[in-house]
Amino acid sequence: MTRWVLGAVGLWLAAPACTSAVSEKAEAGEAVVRRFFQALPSGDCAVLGPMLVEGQGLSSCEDTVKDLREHDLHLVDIVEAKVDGRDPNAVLVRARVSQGGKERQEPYFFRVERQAEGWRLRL
Amino acid sequence: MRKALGAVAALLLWGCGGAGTDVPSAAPGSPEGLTLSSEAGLTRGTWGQDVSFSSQEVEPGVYRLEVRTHGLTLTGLMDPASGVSTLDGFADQNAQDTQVLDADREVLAAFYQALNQGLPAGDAATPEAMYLRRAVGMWAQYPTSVTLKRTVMGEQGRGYTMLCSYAKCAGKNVGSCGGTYNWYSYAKHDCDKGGFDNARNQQIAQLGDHTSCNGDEYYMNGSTWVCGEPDHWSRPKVMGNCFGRSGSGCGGDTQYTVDATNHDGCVRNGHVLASGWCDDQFVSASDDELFAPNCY
Repeated sequence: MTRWVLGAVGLWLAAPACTSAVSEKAEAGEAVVRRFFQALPSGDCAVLGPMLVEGQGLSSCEDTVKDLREHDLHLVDIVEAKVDGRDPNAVLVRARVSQGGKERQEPYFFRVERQAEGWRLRL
Repeated sequence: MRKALGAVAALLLWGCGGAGTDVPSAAPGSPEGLTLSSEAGLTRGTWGQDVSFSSQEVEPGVYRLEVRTHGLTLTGLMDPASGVSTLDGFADQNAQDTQVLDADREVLAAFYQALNQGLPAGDAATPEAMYLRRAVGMWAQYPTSVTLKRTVMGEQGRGYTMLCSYAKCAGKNVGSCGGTYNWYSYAKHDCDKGGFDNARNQQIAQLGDHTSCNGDEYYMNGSTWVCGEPDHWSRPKVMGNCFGRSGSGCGGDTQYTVDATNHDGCVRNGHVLASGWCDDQFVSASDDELFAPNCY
């Protein structure tokens, strides 16, 4: 019983700090997705590139942007953003998107990862 | 269950802490790592050190599935008679949302192959084992862009359309076609190359378990069958590696459907399994994989 009470008190004391840190991460992830789609029509990889995760096996910014623009992918709205339960340095952003002028039936689950340079979208 | 897990995890964790990046580094090398135990209405076991699983009939005809691997818990409650399933996936440690990543798909795909070898094929498996195998086959192909918490409804004629007759050639479900094919026109998808009507997004396919090459399919180049996959050619002929069957490659079940054919037509046509361009085909094919009857 004591163990449960202590646990509950500890959780209560830790909750505000946790909530704040988690919500800051979620907001950062959400902001990256919004900024990326705002800048997408420009097709400018000088702007878009620093928002994307780069690495082996991933398409270049130019190819990614070309694909997205050819598919006419647009952000309709963000439904929610949450820190990944398995990775505190990743945020899952659930978003409504449209393709070819038509909203997709299921929301799209974007992944934003914290890297040395800041939060970046993995596409 | 999920809330309870979350509460317990939160109390244990005390503070913010949280889980670190917890993805598998390597899958067990062989299906020999599979341990299975079965009793009335329950199949459970482990696969190597990476996976533990169970599937239990919790009410007549209703099955509760659970697979745990590297910090990820995948659950399903399946009611095949009603054509309804509720799927979920979350982090073990805190019951928060997470995604299926490449490393998870690798482990799940290898586990699926182990189940295909370790369980009786098709309807010969117990229902709880068969639905577990189907769900694992689906999770092994799960796109990162699709949320793990979903309700999948399956109803023949609306949710899925069977293509059993196209899985046969020369009157046979398996074995060589001997040059006599039974073409299905067309496997199709939409993507950055164009819509469903674009000929580059279509394939003329011989469905079924008739051949394979190094675990891959064949496609017609001129008048020659070539091992591999075309990349947005204009309506190439393709066959092999159980094209059109739910699940990756030739799994333990034999459901050939329109949506599974279209999903294969996407991920075997210049797109990788986890491609965002194929996730709509994946979503459409989910109910086929979970609920469609076996063709043979």
